[in-house]
Amino acid sequence: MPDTLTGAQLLCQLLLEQGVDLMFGYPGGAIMPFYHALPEYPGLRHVLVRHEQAAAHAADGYARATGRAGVCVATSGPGATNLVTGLATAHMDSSPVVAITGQVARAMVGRDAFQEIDVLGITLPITKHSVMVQDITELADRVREAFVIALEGRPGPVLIDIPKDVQNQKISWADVRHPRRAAWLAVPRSSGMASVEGIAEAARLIDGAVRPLLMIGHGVILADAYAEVRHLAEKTGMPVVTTLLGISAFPDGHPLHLGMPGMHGEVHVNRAIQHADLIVGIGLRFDDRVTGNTAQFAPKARIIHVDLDPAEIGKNIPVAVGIVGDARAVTASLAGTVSGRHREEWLAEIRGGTRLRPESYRGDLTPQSILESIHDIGGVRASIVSDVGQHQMWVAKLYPYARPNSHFTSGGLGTMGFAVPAAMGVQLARPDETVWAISGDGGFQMNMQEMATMVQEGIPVKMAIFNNGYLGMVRQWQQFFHGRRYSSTPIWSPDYVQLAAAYGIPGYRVECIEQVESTVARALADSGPVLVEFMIEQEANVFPMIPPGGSLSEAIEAEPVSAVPAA
Amino acid sequence: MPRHVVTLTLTEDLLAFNRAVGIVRRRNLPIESLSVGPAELRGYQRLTLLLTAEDEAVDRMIRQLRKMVGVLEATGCRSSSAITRELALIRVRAPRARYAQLLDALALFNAIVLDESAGEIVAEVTGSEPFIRSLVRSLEAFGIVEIVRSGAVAMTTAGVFAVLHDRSPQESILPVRPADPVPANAREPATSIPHAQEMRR
Repeated sequence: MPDTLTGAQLLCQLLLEQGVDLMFGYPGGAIMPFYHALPEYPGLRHVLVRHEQAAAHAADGYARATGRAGVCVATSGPGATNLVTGLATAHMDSSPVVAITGQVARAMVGRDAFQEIDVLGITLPITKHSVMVQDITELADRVREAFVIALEGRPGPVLIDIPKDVQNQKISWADVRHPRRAAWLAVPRSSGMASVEGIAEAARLIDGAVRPLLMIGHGVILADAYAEVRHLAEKTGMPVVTTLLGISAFPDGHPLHLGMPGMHGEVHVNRAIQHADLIVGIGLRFDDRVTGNTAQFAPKARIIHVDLDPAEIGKNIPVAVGIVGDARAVTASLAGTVSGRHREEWLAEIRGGTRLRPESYRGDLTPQSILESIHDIGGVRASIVSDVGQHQMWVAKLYPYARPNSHFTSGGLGTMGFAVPAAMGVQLARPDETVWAISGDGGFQMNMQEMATMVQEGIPVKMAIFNNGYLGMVRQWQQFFHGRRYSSTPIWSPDYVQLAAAYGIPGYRVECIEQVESTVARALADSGPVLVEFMIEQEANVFPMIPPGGSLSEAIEAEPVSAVPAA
Repeated sequence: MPRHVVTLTLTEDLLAFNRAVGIVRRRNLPIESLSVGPAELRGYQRLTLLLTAEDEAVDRMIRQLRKMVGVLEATGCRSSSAITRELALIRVRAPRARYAQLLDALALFNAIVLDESAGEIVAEVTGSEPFIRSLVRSLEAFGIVEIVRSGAVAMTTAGVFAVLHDRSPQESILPVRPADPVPANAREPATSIPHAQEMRR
C-alpha cells in the first residue's frame, strides 16, 4: 500500500479497517473520487442499486440481519435526498446504518452549486449523528466515530458527508493509522449497567405478581438476549408478548408465547395486557400501535420498563420501575434474582380467552394458507422480510417464527417499499438461507426496480406479492371509518409474470390454493431471484383491529355490517 | 404552566447547536429566550433556554438532548430555583428638557450610559427579565428607539445544576443511574474534561 493516500483511498482503507466488506450505493459527480478508488480495494464489494432509497434499505436489512453496520453510498444532491426515507426507517427502528454521501467541493458549498444540497440539515432529525468532513485530516476520526456511534448503545444511522475535493486531498497513512481518541468519546454516557436497586425492586414486583406479562421488543434482538428472556419467562412462568419488531425474539411455538399485541393483536393477547397486574417490558418503546389509548393501557398493571435508552423510560407510559440497561445483562440479572414459579392459572385464564374468529376471507387462497406453505416447504432456515400494510400484519401473526431474528419489517416508520431492497441486504448477510420479500401490490411497486439489482448481482431473493388490487390497509380504514369511500386505493398492477420475465426472472401467478405448494416449491428450487404473485381476495381485512385512538379492550373482530360485499 | 430554565453544555460547533435547537423545535415548546456562549470547558459552549411548559414535556426534551452526540450535559429546573440574568442595550431619546429625569430613571436601575449623541442615549442594563421589563416601561415615556437583549443566562441557586425534572417520588420511578462502571471508552486516561455529574435523584 502506498503511504500517501487520497481521501477516497483513505475512506476505502477505513471501511476495511471497520470490517466492512459490502456496501450498497450509486455513483454520481460528487462521489466519483471514491468510486475511482473502489476498484483498488477488492475486499469491498459494491452492490449497484437502482435507486438510492434501496441502498439505504438494503444496508438496513444487512445491519438487522448481522448486527454489524450496514453501509450505503450516494452522491450529493438527489443521491443524498433519495437516501432520506431509508435513513428515517433505520432511525425509527434503531438500525446501525452508515451512510456516506459525496458533497460538492468546499469552495462551492453554500453557492447553490450543481447537485448541492444541505444533506446535514435535511438528515439532522432522522440520524443518530451526522457530520461533514471539512478536511482530510479529520476524515479518519469522523469515519471511526461514525461506526462507533452507529453501533454503540441504542444503534442508529450516521451520515458522513464528504466534499469532493476532500476525497481528492492527500494524506500519509502513517499519520492516521492509529485511531485518535476523539473528543466525544470522553463524554460520559449511560453505559447500560442497571442499578442494583432497580433489579431488586423489579424482582420483588415480579415475585409478588399474580398476573404478570413479559412484553419484549426489538431491544431483545439487538442485545441478543433470546436465551436470557426465555430463561426469565420459563423460570417465572410469565407469558410472553412480542411486539412487531420483537417477533422472532421468542419462539412462536413456545407454550408461554402469546403473540403480538396492539392495534392488530389477537384479542386474548390484548386482554391479557388489560388484565395483567404487572407488565415487564424489555427493549420496547410502548409505541402507540402497541398501547392504543395510553390512558386505558393496562389499567391494572404496574410497569417495569427495561431499555438501553434512558429517554424511553416513562416517555409514553408512566412506569413503576425504570431500568436503563442492556436487555441481555438486565434480563440475566433479573432472572437470577426472581424466584421460580409456575403461573398455570393465569395462563389458563388467558388461553380461555382465545377464540376462533369467523374467518374474513372468502375462497381458500388465504394469507394463512400461503404463509403455511412458505414455512412448511421452505423449512426453518428462512428469513422473512415484510413490507407495510395488511400483508405485514398477516406475515407478523401467521408465520411461525421459530428462529431468532428471522422476521424483518419497517415497524416505526412503516415504510412501504422496504421489503424488496431490505431483503437484498438480508440475503447478502445470509447467503445460505432462503430470504422471502413479501409485499403487497402497492409496496412492491415502490421499489420493484431492484429486481435489476438482484439479477446483476445474483441476489436470489424470493419475492412474494400479495395482490388484492388495493392499497389494502388504507382501503380497510376507508371501509371501517370512512364510509367505504375507496378514495385512491384501487391500484392497477402490471402483469408481474411478464415483468419478471422482462428482468429475466422466473415469475409465477398463483390463483387458487391448489397452485400454492407446487409454486412455492418451484420458487425455492430455483437458485436465483423468483417472483410469485398471489391473487388474494380483494377485500379481505386484518382482524382484530383496535380503532385508532381506542383502547386495547375495543377490538373490532368482524366485518361491519355495512361492509359485507353484495356478492 | 411553570417556567423552566434548560441548560445545555455541548461541543462548540454550529452543527451541534443546530441539532440541539432542532430537538427543541420539534417539540414546539414556546422558547422565550435562548442564549449561547462559551462554557468553562474549552471546546464547549453553553446554551441557556427559558421556556414555559409542563414539567413532563421539558423532562422528555432533556432526556432526548442528553442522548445527542456532543452534549456533555443537559439539565433543567423551574426558573424559580435559578438565578437568571440578562443584558439589554437600550437606545432612548434624550430630549434636553427631560435629560436629568432620564438619567435619574437610568440610575434607579443601575443602568450605565454607553453612548450619547444626537439627542439619544444608549444605556446598558443587566438584571432579571422583570427588572429589565420595568426599566423598559419607565423609558417608554422618553421614547425608545431600539432594544437589543442578550437572552437570559442562568445558574441554579444551589450552585450546581440539579435536575429537577425527574419523576416525583410519588410516582416511585427508581433512580436511573449513570455509567457504573464506566464504559470502556470512558475509562481511558483522564482528559481535561471533568466528567459531568449526572444528578438525577
